[in-house]
Amino acid sequence: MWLDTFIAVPLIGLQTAPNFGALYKYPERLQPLLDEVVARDSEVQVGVEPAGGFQFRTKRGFAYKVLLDNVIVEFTYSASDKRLAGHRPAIELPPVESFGALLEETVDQAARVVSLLSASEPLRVRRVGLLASALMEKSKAPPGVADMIGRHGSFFSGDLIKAESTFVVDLDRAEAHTDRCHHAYAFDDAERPDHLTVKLDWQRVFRVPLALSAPTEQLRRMKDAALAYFERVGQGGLRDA
Amino acid sequence: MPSAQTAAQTKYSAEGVVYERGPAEAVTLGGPGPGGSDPDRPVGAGAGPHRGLRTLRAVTETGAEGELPGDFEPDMVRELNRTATRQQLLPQRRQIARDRSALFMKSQEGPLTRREEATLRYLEWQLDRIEDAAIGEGLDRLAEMAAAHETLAKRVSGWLRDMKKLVPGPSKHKGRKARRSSR
Repeated sequence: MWLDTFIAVPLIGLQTAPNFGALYKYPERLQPLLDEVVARDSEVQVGVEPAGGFQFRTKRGFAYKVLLDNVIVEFTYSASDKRLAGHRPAIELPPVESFGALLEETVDQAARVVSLLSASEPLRVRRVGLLASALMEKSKAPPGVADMIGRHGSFFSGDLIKAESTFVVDLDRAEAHTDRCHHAYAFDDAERPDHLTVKLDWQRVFRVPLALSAPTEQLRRMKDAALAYFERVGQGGLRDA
Repeated sequence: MPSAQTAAQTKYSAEGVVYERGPAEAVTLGGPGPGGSDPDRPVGAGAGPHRGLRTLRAVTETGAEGELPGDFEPDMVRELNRTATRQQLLPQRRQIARDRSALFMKSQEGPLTRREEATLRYLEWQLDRIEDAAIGEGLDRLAEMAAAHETLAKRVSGWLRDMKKLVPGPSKHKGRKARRSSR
C-alpha cells in the first residue's frame, strides 16, 4: 500500500445526530478508557469544549474527541526536542509506523469508544469518515496523485506553483448509503519547494442513521472499502478499472 | 504543531445540514476587563447581553479536517518517508522487480491494457522509491560534497585571480647586491 511508504496518519470520524442529553454523560462513559491510558502512560492531556464536548490525547499520539454530533479518533506524530550537554538542541524524529497498522489500531479504538458511548442504546450514525493525511515530496508522489495534480494544472498555460484544492466525488450510490471521497492536496513551491500534503477522506453517508450494534465489524468493513479506494487513487487509472 | 481544526472552528451538522461554530467572545471574570479595574463601575456593565455564546450557522458539505501527520520540515519528511519505504517496500523488492519484469516482457509482445499500463507505472514508481530509500541518503551526501567542492573551487579560483592582479612594488629592504653596489 502506497500510504505505508509515507508519513501518513489516520482519522476516523462518526457523525451522529446531535444529542445534548448524552453529551454530558460521555466523559463518565469513557472513564474505563481514560483509566487504562493513565495506568499505562501515567499521563493524559484532557480538554473540555466550552459548548459541550470532551477530548483527550495519549502520550503515544492518539486523540479522542466527543463533540455534540461527532466522535473522532485520530493519530498524530510529534517530534521532540533532544538536548544533550555540549550539543546544540536537535529535533528527535518519532519512530515511523505504517499507515495500515495505525488505521487498524484507530478502527479498534473507535469501536471501543462507540461501545462505551452506546452503554444504554447503540450509537446511531449519519456518516462515517476515514481520513488519510500524508506528507511527501511532490516529486515522489505516487503515479495516481501525480496524474491528478498534473491534469488539474494542465488547464493553465504556465507552471502551477501553488495549489490548495479539494474535489469531492460520489463513488457509489446504494439504497441505504452513498460513498464519497474528498480528495485534497496542497503545495507551495515558492515557500516550500517539493513539499506536498495529500488528504483522502472516504465517507459513507447513510440515508437513515445506522445503529452501530457491532462497531468493530461494521467499521472494519468500511475501512477495507476505504483502503481499497485509496490504493486505486495512488495507483492511478481510476477510470480504466 | 499547526492545528487545522481549532475549538473556534469546529464544524457541526444536524438534520443533514452542516453547521460551523463561530469563535466565542472572550469573557473576563474578575480580571481587568471592561470595567474590571474600576470599583465604581456597576457589576455586569460593559458585558454584552449574550457574551460567551457561539454562533451555529449552516455551511456546505464538509470533510473531516484532521491534523497533519506532524509539524515536520521538508528534510524531516524526506528522512521519515525513506525510513517508511525501507520498512515497507525493501523486503518486497524482488517480488516487485519480478512483477515489473513480467509486465514489461508482456508489453514487448503486444499492447498492454490501460489498467496494466497503470500497474506497470506503479511498480516502477515503487522500485524508484526503494532505490531512493536504499541509496538516496548517500547520494544526497555526495551531492552536498560536490556542491561544497564547487563552492571551494570557485573561491580558490577567485582568490588566484585576485592574487594575479597584485603588482609588486619596490621593496624597502635592499638585497645584498644593492648594498654592495651602493658602497
